[in-house]
Amino acid sequence: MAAGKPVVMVTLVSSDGQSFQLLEEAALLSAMVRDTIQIGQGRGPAGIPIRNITGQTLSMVVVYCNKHYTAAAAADGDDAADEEKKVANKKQLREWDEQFINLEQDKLYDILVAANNLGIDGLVDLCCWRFADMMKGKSASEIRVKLGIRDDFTSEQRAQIEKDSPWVWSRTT
Amino acid sequence: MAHDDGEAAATGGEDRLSALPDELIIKILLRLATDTAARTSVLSRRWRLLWCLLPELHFVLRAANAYSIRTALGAHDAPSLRQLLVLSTDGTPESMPEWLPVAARRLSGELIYIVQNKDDKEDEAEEGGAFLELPCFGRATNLSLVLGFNTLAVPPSGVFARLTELFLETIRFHGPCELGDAVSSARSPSLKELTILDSRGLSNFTIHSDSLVKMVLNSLKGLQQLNVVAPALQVLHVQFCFAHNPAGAQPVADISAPQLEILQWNDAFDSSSVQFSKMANLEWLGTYFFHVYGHGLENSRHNHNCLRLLQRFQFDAIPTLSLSLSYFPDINDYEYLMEDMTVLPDILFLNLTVLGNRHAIGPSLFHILRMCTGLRRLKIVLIVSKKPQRVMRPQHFHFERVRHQVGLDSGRWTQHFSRLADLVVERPRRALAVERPRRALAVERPSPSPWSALATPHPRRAALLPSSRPDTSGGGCVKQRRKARRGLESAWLGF
Repeated sequence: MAAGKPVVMVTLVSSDGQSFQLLEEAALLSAMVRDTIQIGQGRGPAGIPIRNITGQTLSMVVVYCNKHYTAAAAADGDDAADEEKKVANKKQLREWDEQFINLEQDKLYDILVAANNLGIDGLVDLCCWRFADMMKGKSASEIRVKLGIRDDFTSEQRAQIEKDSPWVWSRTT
Repeated sequence: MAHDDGEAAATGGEDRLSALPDELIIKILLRLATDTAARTSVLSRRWRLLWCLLPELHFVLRAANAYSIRTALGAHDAPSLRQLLVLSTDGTPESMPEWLPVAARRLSGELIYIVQNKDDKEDEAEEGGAFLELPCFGRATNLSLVLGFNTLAVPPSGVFARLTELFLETIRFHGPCELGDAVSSARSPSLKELTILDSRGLSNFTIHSDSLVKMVLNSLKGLQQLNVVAPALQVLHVQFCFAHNPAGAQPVADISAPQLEILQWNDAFDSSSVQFSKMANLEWLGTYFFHVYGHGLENSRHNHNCLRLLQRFQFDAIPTLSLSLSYFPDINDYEYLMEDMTVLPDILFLNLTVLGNRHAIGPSLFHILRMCTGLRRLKIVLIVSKKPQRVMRPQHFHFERVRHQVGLDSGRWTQHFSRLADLVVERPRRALAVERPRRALAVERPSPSPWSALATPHPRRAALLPSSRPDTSGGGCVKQRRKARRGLESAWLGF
């Protein structure tokens, strides 16, 4: 964080017209914002319109970007030799992430799709981790219930699939 | 397993998960074990073949499902398989993989294959019997094999065209070993990094590689001869390979690596049998560890490896020297060997790793510093052994238990020797204050009289002080040096 650097803000505008101001460097976590700014747009007062993402979702994304930008900036400023502190900070950020993403499923889908559209890799990974976590250690039927997946197989088809790949079922679920 | 509730499950609400694009679902599946991911094939039609697109497959194998990888690889359909990770908890050669040839054809990225042996069969598992034949991986970029001392036969022909990194650990090579041939340029034209750890059966290793940049050889029991011709090699670590050989057996090596920048030779060394080509770019030299106190022939023979290496490079200007000093826990009646060290290369930075075992390290430190007149930076890493009572053997001398690191940086401290003392005292105080506040007191208030810290040591500490002290006086700035020594020793006394 160079002291002499001017503070540049960008505005993101959600599909339902809500504006969010954040530090440009925080917004640059998004590949989409990066591309927009690179072609010389988005710095004006009108901001960057974010289609298909509502204010409610965008506000969460902005919170994530701010947090991760602040953490990265703090890590840069730290004494590079202090490994223990770095590890502790990383752990702290991970805990924050897990807390942040502990959401009901509808919001989780919204954020995953938003993060994917905005090109925020860290947030995409975090959402995927959360979904995988919901599937871990569950049987197929439990996963269907948990995640609302409609079973469109006949029971004969299901049996055939299990017969085709016995290795998958060699361990109890 | 019950599937009967499938229809009822998702009647309310839309199935948003299944509506996600393939790439996102695959990202989710990637975070599951591969067999869990494959079980999603039964969720619905949408999910039927999704797992087959996984670019990475991870398996944990037991004897019962050892055949599974092959069938899985058969069903799997991703355009490119960028990673295959197999962890086998049943390390017998009988369960050795018939899937390897399939994997060799499919894999375009990285193979990690780890065999865990329940009991350490290192010494009993002898050559002969079943062994694992490594197929030629024509498209893989990284191969990591950790075989739990099972026997591996390196293929006698075939080109590892895209292989850039090869990592081998706990391997028993099936002899006569073709490894040198397989990793040389003719058959591994892209190989950049080669690591071989803790392996057996490699008595003669010859590698000619134009692409190799880094090579690490650690604990290759039985290595008798090493020949390296590697014009692009920048980093070479040789550690505890020759040192395992019976006493009197000379290390034989011929290293031609004109671009070498880092040479870490933690091993037996004899300049009459180990040849290095001219290495004009050498930036880092690391040596075998040195016993500050020794007893009998064995210790002094051991130290000669370090001393001979220092002698070999004594007229060279090498920016960084990495030295390791080791103290036995009990040094009663041991001889002070530090005086044997009389020459160092011309260095700017000194990396000193010390296994102090609660002894005062000031005297040996100053013995070294007196020889480094051009030193600009000193870094001291203090190792705290968890089991100080145990006699140190080379394989125990790993450096992971670092408790304190002291960094010093001063452009002209050879002229301002006393400043060194200030710095040294200052830095450990912080380090100590964090970890062991009570002991730090001795450091926090250095006593006003130069020698009082030494004159009235704690009884237990007094017993640990070395009996012979090298004389640091002489030269023009005795007073300053004494001051420096006081500062240092009071710092180390805190440990």
